[in-house]
Amino acid sequence: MLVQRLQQATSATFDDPEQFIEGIIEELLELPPEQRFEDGAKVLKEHFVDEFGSLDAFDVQFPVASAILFTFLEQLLNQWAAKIARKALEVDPRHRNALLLVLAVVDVLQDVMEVIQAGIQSDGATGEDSLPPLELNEQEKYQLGSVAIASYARLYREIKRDQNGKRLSRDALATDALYGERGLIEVLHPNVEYPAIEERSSEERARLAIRRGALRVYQEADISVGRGAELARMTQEQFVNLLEQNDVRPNYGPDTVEELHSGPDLMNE
Amino acid sequence: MNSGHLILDNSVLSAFASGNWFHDLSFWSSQYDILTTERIWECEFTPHHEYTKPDWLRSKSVDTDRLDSKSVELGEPDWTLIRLAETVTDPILVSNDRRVIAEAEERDIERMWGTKFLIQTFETCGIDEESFNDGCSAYIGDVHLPDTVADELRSAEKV
Repeated sequence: MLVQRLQQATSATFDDPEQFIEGIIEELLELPPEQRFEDGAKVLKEHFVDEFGSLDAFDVQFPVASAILFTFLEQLLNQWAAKIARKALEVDPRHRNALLLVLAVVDVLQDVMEVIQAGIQSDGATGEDSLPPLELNEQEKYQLGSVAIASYARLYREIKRDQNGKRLSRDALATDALYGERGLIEVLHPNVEYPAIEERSSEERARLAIRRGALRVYQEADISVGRGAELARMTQEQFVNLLEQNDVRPNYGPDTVEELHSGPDLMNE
Repeated sequence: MNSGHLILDNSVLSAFASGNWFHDLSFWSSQYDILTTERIWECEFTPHHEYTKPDWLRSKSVDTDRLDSKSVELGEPDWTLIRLAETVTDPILVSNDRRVIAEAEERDIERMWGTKFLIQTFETCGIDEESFNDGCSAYIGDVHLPDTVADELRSAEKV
């Protein structure tokens, strides 16, 4: 879908965009996650070189491709996140967790893209909500690129499954959300040791990824702490701690002195 | 005869506990019935605080299936509070959660911010000055009050 948008935007033509993307996704998802999240960028590069002869040739044919891809992907992910968050609130608990897992992967991908963008914009021209410019070396950019590509591949595959009426691969989504999170932490906080994903049970991986999804729902929708906690399968106090750890302010009030004094005065005789 | 029912959310019970004023809530028991729900007490408050249920606080079991509608923005524990408020006379639902307060307003249930409740408890001598000052920072952190509201809380004076 990204390639199709790119095609519309640039009036350029891929021989077969769908097949081109499918080929990349197929190869990426055949790799074990630890390799996919390390070397996803290499797989993508190889496919682009096969299609265009070299990366330089791609740049010549699509001079604004990277920027357009980034903007489209950002818009697309924002729309997805809002839509999935809403749906997660409305569906029954049986289907809710799968949506929260998808949302966790979307959330990781958006965080990675934000960091990549902060690394690219060394001139300081970041938007209002963007991270300040970051110094990223080539290896870090490569690693983040791999995380973004691997995460996108998972989302692409799961959305296709959903469109074809198939069940979402919960374990794969949870596992990829954690690998993505780990890739991001390795770049941003190299001294922090991320717990080994391979040693966690599938239930544990799902639980952690669902929390990330629930956190995102809390940020997207006007819900209570109690509702957020319910989605995250935590107590309210645990959920508030999760919000704090992720620099998200609980939607508590009041926000102004005027609001504080609204409401009844208690009787004390 | 009491003036009504104060229905306390977990955010209020927990914040009073973090300020070390939990037992000072009993101050209101001569004027109001102080209530929460079993769901809040058993599943939200008790796992994190080592208090046994005091005599001045009653926790009620509530059937939320009796509510005529439930929006997706609140969780089941929140709905127990809303339902409880609908079943008692002269309820005042006390919470710090903006969405819970909004739902109470939509249902025309009398509601109050937890921080106003704290200020009134202090100003009417339910909490002594030293204890209030000692617990203020922990409370402000727990409820994530913005600076202006935190200043208003710190400047509260006994009447």
